Amino acid sequence: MASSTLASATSSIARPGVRRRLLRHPGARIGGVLLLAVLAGALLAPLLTPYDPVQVAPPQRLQGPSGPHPLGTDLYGRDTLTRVLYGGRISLAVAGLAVLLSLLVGGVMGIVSGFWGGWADALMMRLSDIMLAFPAILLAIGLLAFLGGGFWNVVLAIAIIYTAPLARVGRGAVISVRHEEYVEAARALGASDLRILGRHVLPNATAPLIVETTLRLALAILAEAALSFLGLGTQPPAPTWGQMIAEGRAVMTFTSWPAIGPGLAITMTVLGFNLLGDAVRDVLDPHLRGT
Amino acid sequence: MRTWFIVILAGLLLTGLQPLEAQTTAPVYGGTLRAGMQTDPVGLDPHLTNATATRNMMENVFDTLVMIDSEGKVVPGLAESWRASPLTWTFTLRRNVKFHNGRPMTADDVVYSINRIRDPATKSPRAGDFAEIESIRATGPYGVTIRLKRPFSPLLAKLAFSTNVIVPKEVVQKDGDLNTNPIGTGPFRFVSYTPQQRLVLVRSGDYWGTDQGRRLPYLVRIEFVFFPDAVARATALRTGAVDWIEYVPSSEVQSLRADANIEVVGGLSANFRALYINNTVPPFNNVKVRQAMAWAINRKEIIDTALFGVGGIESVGSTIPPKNFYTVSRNVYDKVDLNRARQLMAEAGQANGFDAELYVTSTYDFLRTPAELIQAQLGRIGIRLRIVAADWSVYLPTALAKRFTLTILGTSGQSDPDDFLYGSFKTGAPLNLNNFSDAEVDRLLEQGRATADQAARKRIYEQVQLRVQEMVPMVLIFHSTQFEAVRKHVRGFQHWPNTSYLGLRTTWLSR
Repeated sequence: MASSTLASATSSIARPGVRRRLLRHPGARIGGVLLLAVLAGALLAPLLTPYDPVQVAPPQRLQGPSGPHPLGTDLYGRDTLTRVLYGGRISLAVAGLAVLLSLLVGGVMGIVSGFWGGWADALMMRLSDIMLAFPAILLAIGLLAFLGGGFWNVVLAIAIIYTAPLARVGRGAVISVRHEEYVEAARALGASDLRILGRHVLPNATAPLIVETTLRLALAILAEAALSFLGLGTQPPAPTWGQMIAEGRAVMTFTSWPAIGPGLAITMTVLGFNLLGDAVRDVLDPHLRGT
Repeated sequence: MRTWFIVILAGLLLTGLQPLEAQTTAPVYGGTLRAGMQTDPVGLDPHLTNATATRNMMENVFDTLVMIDSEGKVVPGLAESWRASPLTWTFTLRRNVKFHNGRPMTADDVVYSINRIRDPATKSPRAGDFAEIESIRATGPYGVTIRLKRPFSPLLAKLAFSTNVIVPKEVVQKDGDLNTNPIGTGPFRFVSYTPQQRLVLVRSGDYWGTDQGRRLPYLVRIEFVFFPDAVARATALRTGAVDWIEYVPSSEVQSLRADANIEVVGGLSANFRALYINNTVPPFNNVKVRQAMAWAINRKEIIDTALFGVGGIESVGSTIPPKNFYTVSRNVYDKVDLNRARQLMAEAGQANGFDAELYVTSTYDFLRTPAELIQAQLGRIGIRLRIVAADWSVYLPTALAKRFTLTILGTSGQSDPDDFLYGSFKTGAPLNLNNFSDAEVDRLLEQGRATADQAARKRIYEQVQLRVQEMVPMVLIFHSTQFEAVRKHVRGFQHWPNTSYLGLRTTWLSR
């Protein structure tokens, strides 16, 4: 009896074989490859392409795919593939920073709220209810209309709209672990709140948060694309996938290639995060499937 | 015998076919025209608004004293005829004109309307049009006399501007303004306006106008539908969801022309577009910097790239369109000269360049797409621009309040050179968004207003335009072209060169 309780006290992450199972999971493999490709493209952009993403070259405008321009050129003659690669830097940075911020604020709030309960929990729940009542993108647009556009404001806006969902997941994860036998046992042994939180609750509660974070990264990429499509994101001529789609749409009757490049990039990235998130969920805790 | 009979019979049959063809070219009464518009009107009262959208949707609900025709000439409107002496103009009004509420129009209405525009309490943006009027009074029910403080040659052009319309006093006094109940004398009556959806007009049975003896208008109903997105608007025309669209974007002109069901009309219009410079913001307050910019801007590249070669015509060095009697005779900046530009920058103490902000609107493609090119072109002489794009609803008030350093904008005139020059370049004038102030230009502009002789005016305005070129309050880039597009069954619509849709008065549908 005692040994099985102790066994479940070990973090689900540290359980032996997690890494191996993840690497064998088909979803994780595909998702991982996609994300690696996007990440590598963004980081290694200067090595992969000789073109400047911002410099105009009107004589080469609106060309279809060719040797020198695998994805064609846009209205100003800029190479689309180059802009997709450099645009990845902005999109991944916005998504990463926003979700990180969201996790640090929302995740922590949720954990605290779930562990200690009481009036703090009740307050946080009501606040998150209010936030969750708004359609997320509209809330982000409203925030950006107020703050103005640009890189850091978009990070902030996306972070704000994902705080409540992450808080909920954190809270739920903590609550589901809080009443486990090993926690009661630790309390009976005289462990302090913080020790229980740090050694027993948190390690077992991180799994849902990890899954949610990965899925939120996918949503953040889409949110950034939507906001920069509307002109609220990083300002031109810096390449952002959303804005490239907006510009591509304006010339769609001429050629659809300027919009295809960024569209493919967004698809790959979002698919990658989704597949990876699903795989992590499958591996860490099959009970979570269906949530 | 039988062969002759057959030949005669065939001949009769052939002649009998002809009248059928002739019938289909005569206008047919009836039908609803669904018109795709760029944006909502800003208020419905023509006297109170600056917005082209309001003007375009209301100009067939109201009439002006005189009108501009499709060739840009002044023709009779509510006034049948007029006589002019240097300081006195007398107008004789038409007699069979009724407002949409049934009341006949008289000279009192004309006096009331012009005075309403002039009155500072009305806060009309066109009050300045009639600043030179000393008095206006009715001489009988169908006569109006205007006395001027000084000779004012542009008077007819101002009276023809399609927001300077004749309105019914009792409606304005009852409602406070014409924003809810816009009652005029025009061919169409206002029915309803649903914001962001549609604005509906129906035929007025009382309209005085005729087209070769036929009562106007032909259409029973016009529905203006709003499509803020230019591509969506063009698509709506392609699919037949609308019958007529305004502001065909440059990127669509070629493909719409190739569509067998669609006709594209238009060409040079009366708008100019320029890189507006705030002349009071350093280092742009140094004329050499502004001149350097004028030598560095590549107009042809902008038109070919950003406007698909069709959206504009290279500026001839004036805000007045090319081929106008008063257009300046030459453009000092006749080619791109980067060496000269860099030299001027050095002379201005800016050899190392500097940073500045280019504020543009994301709403209109022709005001947005040149931005990246201007950024690249000025970058070559050391001016490093960052672009900030805003929606029109945010952009326009900011630009009109002159809260910019550089922006891409422009305005239009009608037919008189004063329209194109006074409002933009006179010190303190409402559309002088550049804070431009030059004593010589001010003096010449006043002189041009007061001079009647055409040849003398031409000399004066030549000097004005050359001085404006020298001082570069704005870098002139292109003269706009403007295109409307219709489905083939829409007939009788003529393109007006000054952004007017008065052509809708004679439009009819062939099915």
